[in-house]
Amino acid sequence: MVNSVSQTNAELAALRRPAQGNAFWRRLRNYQAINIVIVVAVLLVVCVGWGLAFPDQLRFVSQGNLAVLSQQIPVTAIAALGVGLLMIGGEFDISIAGTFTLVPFVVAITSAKLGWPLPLALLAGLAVTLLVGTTNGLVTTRFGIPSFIATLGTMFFMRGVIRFVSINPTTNQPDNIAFFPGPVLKSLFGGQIAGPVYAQVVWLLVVALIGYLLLNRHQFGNHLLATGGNRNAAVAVGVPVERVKVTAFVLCAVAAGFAGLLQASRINQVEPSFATISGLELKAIAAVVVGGVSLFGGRGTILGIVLGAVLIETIDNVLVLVSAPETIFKGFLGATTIVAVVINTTIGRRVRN
Amino acid sequence: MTGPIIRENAIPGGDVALAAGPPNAAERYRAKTPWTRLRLHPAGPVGIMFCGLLAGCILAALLAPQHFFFLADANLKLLLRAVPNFGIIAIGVGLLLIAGEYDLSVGAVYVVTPFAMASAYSHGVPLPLAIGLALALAVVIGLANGFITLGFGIPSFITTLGMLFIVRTSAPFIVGYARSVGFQPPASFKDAVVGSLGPIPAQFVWFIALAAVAYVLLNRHFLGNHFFAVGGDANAARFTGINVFRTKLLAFVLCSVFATIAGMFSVTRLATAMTNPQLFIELYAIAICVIGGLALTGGRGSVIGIVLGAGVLQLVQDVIILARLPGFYLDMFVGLMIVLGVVINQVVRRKY
Repeated sequence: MVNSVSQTNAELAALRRPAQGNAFWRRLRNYQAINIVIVVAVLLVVCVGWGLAFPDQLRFVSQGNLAVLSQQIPVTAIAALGVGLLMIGGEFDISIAGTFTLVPFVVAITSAKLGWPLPLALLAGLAVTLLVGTTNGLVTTRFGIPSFIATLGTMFFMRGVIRFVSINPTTNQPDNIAFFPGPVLKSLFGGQIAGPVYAQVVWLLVVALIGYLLLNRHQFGNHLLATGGNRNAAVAVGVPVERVKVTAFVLCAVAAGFAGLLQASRINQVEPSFATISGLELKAIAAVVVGGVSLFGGRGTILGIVLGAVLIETIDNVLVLVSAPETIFKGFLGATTIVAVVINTTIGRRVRN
Repeated sequence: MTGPIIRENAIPGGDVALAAGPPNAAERYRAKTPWTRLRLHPAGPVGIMFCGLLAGCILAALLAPQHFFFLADANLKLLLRAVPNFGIIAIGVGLLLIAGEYDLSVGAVYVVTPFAMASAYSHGVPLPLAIGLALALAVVIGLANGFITLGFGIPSFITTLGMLFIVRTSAPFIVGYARSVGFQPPASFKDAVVGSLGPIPAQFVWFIALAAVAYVLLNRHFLGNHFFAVGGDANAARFTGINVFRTKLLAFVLCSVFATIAGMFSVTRLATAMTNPQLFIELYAIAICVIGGLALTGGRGSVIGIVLGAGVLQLVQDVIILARLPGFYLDMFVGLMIVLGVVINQVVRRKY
């Protein structure tokens, strides 16, 4: 018995030990996010090539389009990073479109209507994300409810709150609310840095770096991977599973709220309808699973998530540029999610066996 | 080598539990008072809630008939017409939920398959064939959901979330880019489907009939037993010889078919089929199931609970409209009910 186990281990080790090839290629091949890196690289080469060859047909590399991309990708990517971290911990958050809309609402109303100073208004926004995240986390962990149902409840609730806040008493319809938090915040959250590069890109890099440090260089990341990978084993080695999950929920809500602030300060308003029709949660989940995060938790990389968001946004952008019907993108999102999950699951099974 | 491992999984701590003797559930049930038995029934809490809500509405309507038109003929008819709409979808979703899986794609199926029916009929296809086409489409979508979910072992809510958007998008490809198409079936068909039986709208009669079919299937047929078994513990079900794959597949197909039937009623009543997405229908269906006392983990629930859950949701919506409250109260109520309902279900289960 012992013999056979050690033999299997030896075989496994032999399998893992690459016999030939140089170290760089070997590491690259074994890197978790390698699939998405290749896919995004190919996609970008095709898009840029097509855009350069036929600039009239596809304005992909025009200054204006690059500026749109550099403002749009970070918003999705930051929201996806939160969802991705949470999914690595083995849970979902469907309520991010609500948080994404509610936070800029709170900031706009406290700063413009109530006249609070800006830092205080931002703190109020942060408090909302903390509240939403903790509620999601506690309801999920304490009552052992599937997180997608718990966050479904908070999503409905936030939609109600958003409509309550934005309702226009004369028309009885939700109104867009102006978002002008001042020039400092505007340039901080969406200033032009150089050419088509905007401040959002820097924020994305900062958030991704924080995510990387958390996931790969901090105890929390270890705990998160352990919790998502095998909950019972994590409990057995003393990981505070509940606290880790609640923290992940809070991080997810904070990321969604921050992404909402970036978006609102770019377009100078908050749209209540965004909480209902945007499909941000599907977009984020699609980006995350395309980026190689396991739907069951315990497996995923920051680079993969960011590149997943780049992929999703680039394709959205190209579909707009070739003026495809709007709904096609949603169908594409659905199909991509299923295919990516199938691939991830089969790969995960092969790795485990 | 594999044999013993699987047995251990099937009966955790098997021998110890058997030695202590399993508590006889039937005995414990009989010992309780009727009140406790009502509370323990999956549909107990929702039944109490429904009766309380209905009594409150009637009382308010009797006390202030000028301000609260609950008992007005038109309002009651409206209620009986509205309940079947979400109710029929929720029965399908509930059957699948009892078998331990979710279906979010019903929101798109509800719109797209009846649209295909109306479109085919307007192009001269005979009515029975057009209905058959819609049902066949539903079966195909249900099978696709089932095969992807069960074949690859993916959480069903992700598969069907993807399918929701795929089906929604594919509508224009199947039926052309029309946004709406008229549906003018023979008067006899229209009467039978959305006419009225005495004072009661025909949809409501159909709703009760479909609920009865679901009840018989779930409680008086071996398939219902299998649904409960695979939803409660798929491994245990497998070891008693149930084909888990086939049972769940059937539940997926039934779910799509019920959503299609609900869509057909709606299309026949409005005499028009539209492709614009009906947002969040799937979520309302799940909310009804949760309110109706179905366990989200599968294996627990009742058809009467789903019917009463649909009643509660519609009553609340009606109260909100009659009291001229802003519409967002419904969203907040649904959100609270989902979380509260799940928590209550969980607590009840833990306690007993």
